[in-house]
Amino acid sequence: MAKFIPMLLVNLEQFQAKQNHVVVADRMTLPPIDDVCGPQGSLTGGIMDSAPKIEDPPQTERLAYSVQEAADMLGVNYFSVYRLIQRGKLRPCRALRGKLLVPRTELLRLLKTE
Amino acid sequence: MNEPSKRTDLSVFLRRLSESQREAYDEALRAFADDFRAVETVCQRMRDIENNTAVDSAREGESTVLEIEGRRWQVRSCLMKLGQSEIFLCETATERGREFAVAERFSDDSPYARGNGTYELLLRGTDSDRLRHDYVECERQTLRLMATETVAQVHERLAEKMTEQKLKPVLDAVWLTLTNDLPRQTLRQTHEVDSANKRRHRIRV
Repeated sequence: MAKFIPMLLVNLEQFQAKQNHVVVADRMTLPPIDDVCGPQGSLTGGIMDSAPKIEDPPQTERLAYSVQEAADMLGVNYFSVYRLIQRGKLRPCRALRGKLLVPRTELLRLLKTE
Repeated sequence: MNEPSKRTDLSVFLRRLSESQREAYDEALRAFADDFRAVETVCQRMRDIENNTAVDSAREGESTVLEIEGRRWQVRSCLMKLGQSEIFLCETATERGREFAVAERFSDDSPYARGNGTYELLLRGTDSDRLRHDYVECERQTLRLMATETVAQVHERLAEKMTEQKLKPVLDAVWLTLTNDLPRQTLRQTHEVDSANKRRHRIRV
C-alpha cells in the first residue's frame, strides 16, 4: 500500500496541473511573476514555498513567461534568450498580437529540471 | 508585419504621422528605450566587427584556453559583451588543420550555466573571416527577432489607445526605427551548431 502513496501524489499533482492549465487557457491572463517565482524569480520559489493567504484568490501556475522573465529565470541576458530562440534551442509560443511567450516546460527543459 | 521599404527615410515617414500617432510613437520610444538602445548598441558592434575595428584581444591575466564539449579552444578575441554574456572567437587545432568557433560564455552561477555549462558553441568553421561574417549575420537575425518582439509589445501597449488602422503606421515607424540599420540578409555559409534544431513549433495560447 505504501508504494502507491507516491503514485497517488504524483497523479494528484498532474490532475491539479491539468486543472490549472484549463483555468489559465480559458482566462488568457497571466498573474505577476512574483506570484509564482518569488522576488528572486526562481522557478521553485513563490507559491511552492509560501503559505497561501485566505483572502488571496486561488493561485494558478504560470504556463508561460515573457522573454525578460525567462532571461531572469535562466540568469542570462535577454538578448541571449532571443539568441536561444533564434538557434532553435528554446521554442516559444506566440500570444495575442504576436508577442513571444516562453512556455514553462521549455524553461524546465533548458534548466534540466523536468 | 509588412516591412516598409528599407530606403524609406525615417524622418519622411515620421512626418506623415498625425499628431496622435506621433505621440504614440514617442511614447513607444520612451517605454522601450532599453530595447532601442540595445538594438543600436548591437548594430554598431556588428558594423565594427565587419570593419575589423571592434575585436578586442583576449584580456591579459585571463585564461585564454576554454574547455568546451571536451575540446580545448584558444580564445582569439572577444566579439561582444552584453550584460552577463560574452562572445568569443576561438581556435583549435585538428587533424585536418585549424578550426574556428564562436562561443558564448554565460555567468558561472546562472541557472542556465549550471544546467548546460558555462560555454556554448554557436558557430564552427575553418575560415575565421567567414565565421565572423556569419556570426554578424546570425546576430542580425536575432536583432530582427527582437525588433519583431518589441513591435508586438508596443502593439499591446498602444492597442487600447487607437484603432488598428491608425496604429499600423506607428508600428511601421517603430519597426523602421529598429531595423533601419540592419542590412538585407545574406546567405549563411558556415556550419551552424544547432541547425538541426531550427524547426519552429509554434503553439497558440
